[in-house]
Amino acid sequence: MLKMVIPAFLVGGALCVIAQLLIDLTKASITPGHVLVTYVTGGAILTGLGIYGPLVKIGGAGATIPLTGFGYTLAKGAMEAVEKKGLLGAFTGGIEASAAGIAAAVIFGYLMAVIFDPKG
Amino acid sequence: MTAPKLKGKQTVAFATPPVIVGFGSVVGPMEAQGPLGSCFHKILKDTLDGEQTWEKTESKMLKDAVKMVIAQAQLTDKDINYLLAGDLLNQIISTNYAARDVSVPLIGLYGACSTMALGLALGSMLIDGGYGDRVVAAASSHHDTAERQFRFPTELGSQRQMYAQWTVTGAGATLLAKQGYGVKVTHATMGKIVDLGVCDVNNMGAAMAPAITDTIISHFKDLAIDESAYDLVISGDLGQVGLDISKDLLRQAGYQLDKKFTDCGVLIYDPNQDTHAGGSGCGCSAVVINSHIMQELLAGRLRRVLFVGSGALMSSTSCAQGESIPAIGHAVVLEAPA
Amino acid sequence: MNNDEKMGEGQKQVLKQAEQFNRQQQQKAQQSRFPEPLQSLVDLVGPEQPKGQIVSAGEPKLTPQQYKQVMNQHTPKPTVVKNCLYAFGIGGLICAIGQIVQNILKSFGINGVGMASASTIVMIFLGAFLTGLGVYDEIGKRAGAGSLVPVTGFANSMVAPAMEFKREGYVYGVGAKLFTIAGPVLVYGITTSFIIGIIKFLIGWMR
Repeated sequence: MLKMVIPAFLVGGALCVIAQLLIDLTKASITPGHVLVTYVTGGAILTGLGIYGPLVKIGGAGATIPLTGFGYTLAKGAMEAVEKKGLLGAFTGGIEASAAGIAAAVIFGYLMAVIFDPKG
Repeated sequence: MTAPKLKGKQTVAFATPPVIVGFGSVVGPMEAQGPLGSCFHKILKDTLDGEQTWEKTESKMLKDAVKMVIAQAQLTDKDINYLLAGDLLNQIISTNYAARDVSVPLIGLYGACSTMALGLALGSMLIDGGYGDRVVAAASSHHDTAERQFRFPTELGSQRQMYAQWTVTGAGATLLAKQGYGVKVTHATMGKIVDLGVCDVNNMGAAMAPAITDTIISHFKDLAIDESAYDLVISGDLGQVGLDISKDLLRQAGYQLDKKFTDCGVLIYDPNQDTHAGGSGCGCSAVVINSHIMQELLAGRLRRVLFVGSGALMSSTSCAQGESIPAIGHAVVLEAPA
Repeated sequence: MNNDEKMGEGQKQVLKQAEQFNRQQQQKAQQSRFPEPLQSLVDLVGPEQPKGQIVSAGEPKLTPQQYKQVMNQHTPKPTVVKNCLYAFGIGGLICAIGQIVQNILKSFGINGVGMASASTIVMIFLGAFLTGLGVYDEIGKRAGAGSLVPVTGFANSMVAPAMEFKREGYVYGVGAKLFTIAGPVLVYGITTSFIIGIIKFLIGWMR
């Protein structure tokens, strides 16, 4: 049950610290949106370079739960699909692999937004 | 021929200073918990106060404040010649909707957070110029409406900078009249836009400090006076950061305002309320001036106050395009009744 | 000589006129119905010489560069060490919870890609739900990037604007605002993955 929990804590925490430094040490025009975009793009590029895969092995959820993990899923999906389907895979692979996450985000996001009201 | 009431470049001296015969403030629950809580006239039970949207709440606060001051002077809408009001929202909607239920000719103002000072200055000019006998000046802001227009949605888990300010939920109104007993508006100094290249929308204090400093110095020079003429100089919403910068700039210019200079945004919240650098918004100066400061003047504990409303005149579009923040400060002199 | 005299004459004329005009203005000012309301104020402190100026009178003597120095002196710096500790602790905790979810799923026999997807779904639900309850922004105040970067923060970035703009309708309010931050993330994420796929394809094709 508690297998991999410590590595997940350490790797996930470290990824969050890097983002915190990105926010605190750069100019104020870097907003949460910029950080998330940087993370998903960075995760995808690191996956393409073959660096992120090993990190997922080490950190488990610590590497897949941060948004770099979303980039990892997208890039990994695209690369695997290219091997199977050729050029078409570059179009379909990313979204196919991350479909569950995207659909969950849209469905739960919509549901919560409809049910709850902002508290201010 | 120069205008007889114009002193120096930017300052006007009123021949018969208009009298403030009514003032009122409406605030949200958080402001009521602050150090000035007991000074305010009406407190909302929560940030919505029974309305459907925050925008409606803001409008209602403004309307309540206006109605309150008119009733205080035992007058009706018919007796008021002009309503000068403004707020922070696009096309000053809070004001426009509030004025639907107030049958007074409306002059809508946009001076961002300097609106209260702008309204007092223009209202006094209208009265002293003989264009009206009674004028209501008012302004409002609401934390949640401003936050989502200028920054992020309120439920977004973002971290606020240590120098960020908290938009005040509140509305204040002042009834100016030609005659009566009350605090007098004796002078007004209209500010110029000063922009020293600050782009950070969270650091409004630093963006506005040069404009406020400029207006204060211009005021002193136009009237050939210095800080000793006032018991208190109070800015609208510089916050702690802007106040410190402004004090520093004034010291460099040879004015020692240290203890006499404070800020509505610093006064309104307790440091424990986690607002970081203090309050901001049109409502910030509107409620502090129309409660605590007026009360102190009437009690005679303050004799003469220079109120400098501070406004940061950017929009979310200009910020997104990387423009720096043009800031302005308008000043009015408030004098205790003799 | 003559010329000079003429010039002198002319100048005298101008000066005389100006003097006359000024005197008229002074008289008018004295006759005006507008007394000095705060003469006493000026008396109080005396007509002092104007003091030095730094930003006044339309010619800012303080340049934006100089002002930046003054500003930085007074602007509090972010408490980087404290922020990072919070980000590490809470970010790590969220990921650890994700790992526990994965371990539970594994014990039910869900493995591989299915497990990763299912754990993501659970975490997104938690993020969205806590946002709805109004708890997530309170966590974010302290945690900063610690609650932003995990996928729960991505869910928060969708629900927060959508919920807030519900009052502007279900199509342009909720529907459109769900993607205020998620939109850019998807755009750049999908585009990057496409480019990586293309590169992978080209490498394979060249071999």
